[in-house]
Amino acid sequence: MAVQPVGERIKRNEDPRLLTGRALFVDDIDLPDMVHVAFVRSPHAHARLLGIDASQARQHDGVIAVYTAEDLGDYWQPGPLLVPPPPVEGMVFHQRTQVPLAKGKVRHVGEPVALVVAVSRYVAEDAAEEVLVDYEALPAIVDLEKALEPGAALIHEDVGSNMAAYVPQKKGDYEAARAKADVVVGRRFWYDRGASAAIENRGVVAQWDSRAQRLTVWDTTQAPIPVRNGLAAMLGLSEHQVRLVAPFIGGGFGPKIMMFYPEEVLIPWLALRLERPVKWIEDRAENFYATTQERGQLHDSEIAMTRDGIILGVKDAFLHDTGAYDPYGLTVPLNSQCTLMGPYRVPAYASEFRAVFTNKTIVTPYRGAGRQHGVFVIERLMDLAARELGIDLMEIRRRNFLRPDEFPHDHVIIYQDFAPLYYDSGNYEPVLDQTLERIGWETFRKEEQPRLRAEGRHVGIGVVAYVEGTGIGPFEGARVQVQNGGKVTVVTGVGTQGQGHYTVLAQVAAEQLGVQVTDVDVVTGDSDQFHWGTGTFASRGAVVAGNAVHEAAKNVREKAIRLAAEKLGVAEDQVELVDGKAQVVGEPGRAIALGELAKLANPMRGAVKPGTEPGLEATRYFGPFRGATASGCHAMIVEVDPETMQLEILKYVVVHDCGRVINPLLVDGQVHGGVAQGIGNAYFEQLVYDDTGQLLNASFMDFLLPTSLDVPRVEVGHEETVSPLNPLGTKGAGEAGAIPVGALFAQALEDALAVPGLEILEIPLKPSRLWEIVEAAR
Amino acid sequence: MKIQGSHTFDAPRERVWRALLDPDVLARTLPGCEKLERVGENDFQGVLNVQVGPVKGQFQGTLQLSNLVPLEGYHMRVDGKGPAGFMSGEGDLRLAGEGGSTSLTYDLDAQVGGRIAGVGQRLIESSAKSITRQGLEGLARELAAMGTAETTATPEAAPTPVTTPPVRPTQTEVAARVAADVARDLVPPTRRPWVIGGVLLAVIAVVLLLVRACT
Repeated sequence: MAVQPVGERIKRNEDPRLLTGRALFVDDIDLPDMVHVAFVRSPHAHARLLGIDASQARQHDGVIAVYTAEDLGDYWQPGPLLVPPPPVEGMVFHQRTQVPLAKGKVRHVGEPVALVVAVSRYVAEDAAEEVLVDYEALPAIVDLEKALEPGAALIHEDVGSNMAAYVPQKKGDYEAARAKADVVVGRRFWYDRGASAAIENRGVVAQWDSRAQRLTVWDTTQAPIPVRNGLAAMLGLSEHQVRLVAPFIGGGFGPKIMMFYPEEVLIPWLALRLERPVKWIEDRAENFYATTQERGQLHDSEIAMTRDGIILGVKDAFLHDTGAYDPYGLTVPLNSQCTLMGPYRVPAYASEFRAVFTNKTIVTPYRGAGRQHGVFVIERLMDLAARELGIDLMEIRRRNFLRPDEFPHDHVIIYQDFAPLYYDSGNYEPVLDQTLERIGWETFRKEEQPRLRAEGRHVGIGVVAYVEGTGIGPFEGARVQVQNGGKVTVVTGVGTQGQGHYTVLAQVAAEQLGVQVTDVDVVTGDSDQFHWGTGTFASRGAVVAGNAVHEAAKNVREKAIRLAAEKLGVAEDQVELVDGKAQVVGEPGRAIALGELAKLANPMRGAVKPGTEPGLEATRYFGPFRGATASGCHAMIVEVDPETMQLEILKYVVVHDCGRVINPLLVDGQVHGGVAQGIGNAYFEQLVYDDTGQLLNASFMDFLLPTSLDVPRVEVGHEETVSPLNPLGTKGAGEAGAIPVGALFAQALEDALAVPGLEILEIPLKPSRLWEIVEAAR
Repeated sequence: MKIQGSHTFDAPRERVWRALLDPDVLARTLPGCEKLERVGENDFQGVLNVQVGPVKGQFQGTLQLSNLVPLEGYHMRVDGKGPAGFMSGEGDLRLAGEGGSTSLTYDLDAQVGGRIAGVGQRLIESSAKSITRQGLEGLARELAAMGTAETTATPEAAPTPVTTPPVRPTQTEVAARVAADVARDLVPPTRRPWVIGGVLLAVIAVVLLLVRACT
């Protein structure tokens, strides 16, 4: 075969458009007669809403309308629950979802209380400042433990406490395991909030065409099809009356899978009501309050081991900060709970968590989606136990890694897809071996580190391991069609936010159809083109949509070969698809171009045979039995200035196993981006709330993102443990770069600082905080 | 945020006390205060312009005084809100001293919320300090003017309104002083020449660029 696109380092099909500014983003939509919206948002974290006076704003020149919750009538409804709670015995869940505009009470700073529609955003913003809102401040709930104390102010009075959920899960008998243990190591771990800080903020544009009776919505969502279906239901329209377009999006990372944001519900409603196109683009100041955030967990954890460092059991109880509402259900804390066993054999596991309402922005998944907390806890426990037992950090990991013959491995507890946590496949030692080889573990520890330390330099090394549940169901679909010109179209319903779907999905189709990857045109995120789909989340695009494309392309291939065999007068097994042609094996001269076959399959005269379909086209769906478990190791060598605690990362290595790699270049890119966000999470980014629930660093002046100067060159290695759960054998790679970075920083910094008794038990760190921790240890 | 400190005025306690209850005097001394009106015996309403770093905004607010002990002090509560967020504060003002010198001790607990807290946080304490300092200096000027008015007026002509109140600083002046104070707070004295040098260099570079662009 001339073309073998899957597995090649192929440059991205979409990049010429993106790099030359020819890609469509939501903010590029500019329609005649369009009006603009600005939101009035609460400056209070927790307050009673006594009244809103919009009379002055309504008089403002250029203002078309001002709406408060009262003006929405029956359209005012709490948002839907995105993910129901898991079927776990003893589980408690209180559903309190966000509302389009606050009524009676505000529960976090930035919660919208009114909106202004005007001829321009400038006018809308000016008028929004004239909306007078009368608040009566209430005590704010910020601290997770204080939130659950008796007498704490209640965020949702009718719940009776600030506990949003309680989920106990169990595997084996932890207490019995503990009784047999030679050593039990327990600590308290804290992992604070961060913002995903996508380069593009959110935005919604909606247009109602009253003649066609159709609504078009451009939305920066990661879930175009569910948003279309939901909007149709809310607005009383048929699903086919709503076209949802998620064009190019400047980064999703999870917060854009959240639905329905108040703005997402309100802008289309306004377009229908005003019969004018309506636009709202979130500005960065809003983004810090109005786009969902992640993290904020307090873990009390312990590990029980034999003196040889063999894990007998792990126990963990944690509080999870869900923010003011819980529309995304329990995905994030469930991920934490279910990733905490890591790549290790854990015979007994007792875990429980309480999700806690706080007067802060809503928490939903953000790249890693709670997995980093689990990885942080187990990796730290492994390090601490190794230290206590005097076992080498890598050796203790090797002793506990699940071995290849232990897969598939059933971890018994219920995962975010509501099926038992199930590791489909894995081979962890070669990943660790390659990591140690690439980072130069032996040489560094034996030669370089002693030499550098003798020079007075504080240089340390860290290596951590992780797993990542990826590629969960329920399904994605794809339609593959060969056009008369010979080009191939792939249409699917997942949204795309920069992952490279235009390339990866093209590669999968190109492999089946024997065409150039650049001859495959991928369409995603337009509900008029394909209206079945779930969305882009949980590192599932390439796995689930990729396999749907694979199935559809395979079917088109069969059709093309059948037709070519008939026309060429040979047996089907004598036909191969190469270079855009169907040719007789070994006789390149006897061939028909794919485009010709497409024409023959769609004749103007004659009849399409009964039982067959016209065209070279097929639609297929793929739903995986379970999520595929990817794995990997991160390693770094870091130098720290013990006075300023400024870091320099001297070397960073990731070895990643996401099963069959469709495009190593893209997986490298995913890993690089993830590591950058992980480094931000570990050492730069922290959303700091004061005890009245005010966010104190709501701008890029104070919320530090790592820059190109802070992110090192990342060396990426691949291992391929093929997943048995899908025909392509792939696993997801979207979050791998971000997940273990906190754990890695903790281990490497402890090594670099070499202060006896120093334990880093929290993330994010920052120079001042690290200095305090080190001083406390001295 | 705590706003604490004390300031000694060259004025008798009685005069300071009178000034602290006079909305016109307070309006003139409070930097950024656009108006302050008495709406009840000890309740005032006003408008205050505040700029903290990049956040600028007008606050509509109320000032309530309670526990008034003549010549000793009072408890105050301030609530303000505007497009940039809200602020509220509560605390005590105490007077002490003999003869022609009075010390004012203030101890307030203030909260800010919304954009002013989220974006201006880094500068809020130094801005608050600067605004307080400017307010105290303004009050000192007022007291001096009141003193002059009192000594020039004949005793029978009481009560004498302040005839020539000191000129109130413009908003730009207030903002410039806040900026200067904030810069002083943020940049240690040893580094200041470098910062000034850097700024000068930047200005020269911009001028050169502009000249080049125009030619």
